[in-house]
Amino acid sequence: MPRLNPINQRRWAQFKRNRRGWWSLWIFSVLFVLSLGAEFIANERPLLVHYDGDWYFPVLVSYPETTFGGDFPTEAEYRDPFIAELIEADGWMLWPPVRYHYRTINFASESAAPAPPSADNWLGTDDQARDVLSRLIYGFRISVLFGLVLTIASSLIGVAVGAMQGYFGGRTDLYGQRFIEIWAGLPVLYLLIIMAGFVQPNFWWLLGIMLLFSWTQLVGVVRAEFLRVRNFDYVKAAKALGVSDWVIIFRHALPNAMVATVTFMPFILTGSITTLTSLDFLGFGLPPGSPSLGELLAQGKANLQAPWLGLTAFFTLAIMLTLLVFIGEAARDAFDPRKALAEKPK
Amino acid sequence: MSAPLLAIEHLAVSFGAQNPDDWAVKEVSFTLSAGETLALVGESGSGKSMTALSIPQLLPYPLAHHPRGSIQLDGEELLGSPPPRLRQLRGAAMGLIFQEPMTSLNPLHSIEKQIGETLRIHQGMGAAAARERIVELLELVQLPEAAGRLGAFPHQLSGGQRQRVMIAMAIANNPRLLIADEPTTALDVTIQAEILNLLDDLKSRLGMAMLLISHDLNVVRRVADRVAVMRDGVILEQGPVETIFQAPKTGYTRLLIDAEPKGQPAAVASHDVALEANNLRVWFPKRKGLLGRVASHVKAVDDISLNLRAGETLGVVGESGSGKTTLGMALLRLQAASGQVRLGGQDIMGVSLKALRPLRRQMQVVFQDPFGSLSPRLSVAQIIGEGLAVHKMGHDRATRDQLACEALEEVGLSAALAPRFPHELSGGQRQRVAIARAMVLKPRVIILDEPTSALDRSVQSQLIELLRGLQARYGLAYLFISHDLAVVRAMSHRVMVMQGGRVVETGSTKDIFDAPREQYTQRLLSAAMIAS
Repeated sequence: MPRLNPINQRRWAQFKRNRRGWWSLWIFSVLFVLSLGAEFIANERPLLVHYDGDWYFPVLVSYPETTFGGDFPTEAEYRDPFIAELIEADGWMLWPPVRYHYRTINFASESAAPAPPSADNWLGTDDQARDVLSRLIYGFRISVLFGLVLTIASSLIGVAVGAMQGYFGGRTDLYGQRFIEIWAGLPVLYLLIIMAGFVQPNFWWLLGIMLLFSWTQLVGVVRAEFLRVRNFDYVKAAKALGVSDWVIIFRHALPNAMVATVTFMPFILTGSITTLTSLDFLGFGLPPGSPSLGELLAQGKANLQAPWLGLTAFFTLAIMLTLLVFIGEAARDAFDPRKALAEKPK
Repeated sequence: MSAPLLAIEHLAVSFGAQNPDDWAVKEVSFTLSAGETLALVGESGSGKSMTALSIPQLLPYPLAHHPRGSIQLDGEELLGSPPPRLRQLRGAAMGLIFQEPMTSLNPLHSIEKQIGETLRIHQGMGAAAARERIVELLELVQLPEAAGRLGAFPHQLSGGQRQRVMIAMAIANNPRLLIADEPTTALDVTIQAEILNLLDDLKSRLGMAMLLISHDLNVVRRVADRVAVMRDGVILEQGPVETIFQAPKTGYTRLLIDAEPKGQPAAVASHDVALEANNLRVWFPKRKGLLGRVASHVKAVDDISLNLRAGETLGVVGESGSGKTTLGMALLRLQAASGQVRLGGQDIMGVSLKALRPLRRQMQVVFQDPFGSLSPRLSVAQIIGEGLAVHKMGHDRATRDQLACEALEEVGLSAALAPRFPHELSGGQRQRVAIARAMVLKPRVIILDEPTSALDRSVQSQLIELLRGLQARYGLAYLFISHDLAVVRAMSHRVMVMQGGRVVETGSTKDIFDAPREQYTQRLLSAAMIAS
């Protein structure tokens, strides 16, 4: 771990003091890191195959069926009982904990789709007989990644614009504010629906369109903070020292805006995740077949007789968003110098 | 002698601490009779405001509590009184005046409404009766054009006028006790004198008892009958004003009385002109009409010329709004201005802001507020080292840290403070760090904008010693901006008196203080109540 300067050490200590946020961070990090390796947890291909004295890695490399003595030159279907028997006859397979990819259809299911939870499908299957747990893992990953990328990108733009407006003030500020007022008046949802008519939205398309409108969220708070800070004596003193505008912005003014930014970020993150989910729910989000929490919710709504669909999506969203808010609260405490001082042990 | 109006016995205030050593107020006992003024004096943190706020029970309860003691108003115990009874007493039996007239009035309500509120609550007056009484009160506190000002909002009044409104609110229900917490600290000296006269007059006319909290001994000496000296939550001694001032029993009281800045700066040896300004003007245009035609100007600084030799201090005095601070900012080019400014013979008004940067090293500034002038998120070493990095003094981080530590020691602080953050330092220490930040660049000129105004008297004296020492050692030129004439006299070789953006009078410190020529200067001096 790199050496932190004393102020960051104190922030870190303050963050840890908020036990709820600290545990939330751990739980969320573990879940997120696990979901990053989703292919190794839920997949229709085994992790490792030992066949005929040779080692194979189907997760990473695709092998034709003929490798294992099958008939076709296409990729091996390891879940096919025929192939499985061929391999088991002369070796063994190591499967991931969940033997379904998000797009795997469970043809072997005994009950009609959506099937209730069973030993095979721990959270049941959806209406196309795909494993809910597997779709959940992949859906969680894509939601969090989408939220993180959108939050970081829109924060960077928003802080930069807000800092510029607040620090330089005058005309820059006036025109910037008027532009944002008009821009924020555009109906985002309709634009998304119209865009969905032109292009098949994928992850990056959605991200780009959302980014066009989400960057304005932080501008207001950062601008207000900069308007306040630029009249502070220490900023004047820095100017009198001959410090350049950019250094003043980054060194003296930006840290003041960080508390506001960090306080807002978890809400932007949860907001981004919620927006993606609702777009998926409405059917204007990720392309059909993509694993997504919104699509799972929509299925739950369409299949009230299969409560495991709706409940799974609900609990996943609720737990994920709650964890993020707890982390955000702890981060906010950590950046608050007064709080850090007030709660210092005597 | 009749029974005292207010009797406080063995009062203590604690913020959750069990250990008596950590209590904010440890042992306070005093009595106050009708028609009497008792002054509580002491430095900041001595617990005087805490004591005063305990009387109307306005401390942040239950965070604060009273481990022991009693407060009796006319024989009625206030500690532990039920809140409805306390509300009846507050504003009716006791009136309060706070320090900051800016924030103690609600900016959203007219003064009629604010004064009327207390009349309505405590006397149940109707609108017409209240209006009559409000005019009477405003005339009593000598607010000019009282009847026409009823609808005025606080921002339309000056600081002194706001304080008069505050006093009118406090005395609206003929209270028996008036608590004034630093009522004149935020005001200019001339207005201070008026407000004090008013309070004194009202007290005798209405037969109130007054509890005056102040750190300003000149004020206390003038209006109080008795004085109680507080330190660290304990009353050290109390007695009649003259006894305390002439024969203080404790060393601390003597220290407070002697803390008045004394001495004078070393003689100027050099003839080099460090800073010269000619016809400096800061005019703010007032625009009118649709096209924004410039109709007139607010002349914040109007045609001011000055020069400053190396090793010399020019004191700039004047009331708030006289343009002292704007002048300082204009000299630093932190405020757009016209005219000529030469720093060490080099013109700095004509050059671009970018070309000015290297020259900034030679002219530094120290501000009034020791809280606001240091970046709260940088350590002391970083704050001092910043200028070094900008001007490429000290080639690496280690050298700069070394220079910063030397600067700290030069201003009388330990180098061990380098890794600390501003909130861990006291006001006096912070102001020393601000001076170190300026000194480390080895400037020719330092503009000192009220550097001692936010500090206690005893700390002020130490700071003045320090500034004079640095000046003698390095031949620094100071432009010393202050409204505090006692400090200006101790610091300056020459004094410039400003009013409304113009220079009223300039001259040597001795001439200005001993034989002021202009009427305005005379008025300023007599109001300042300097003990000569």
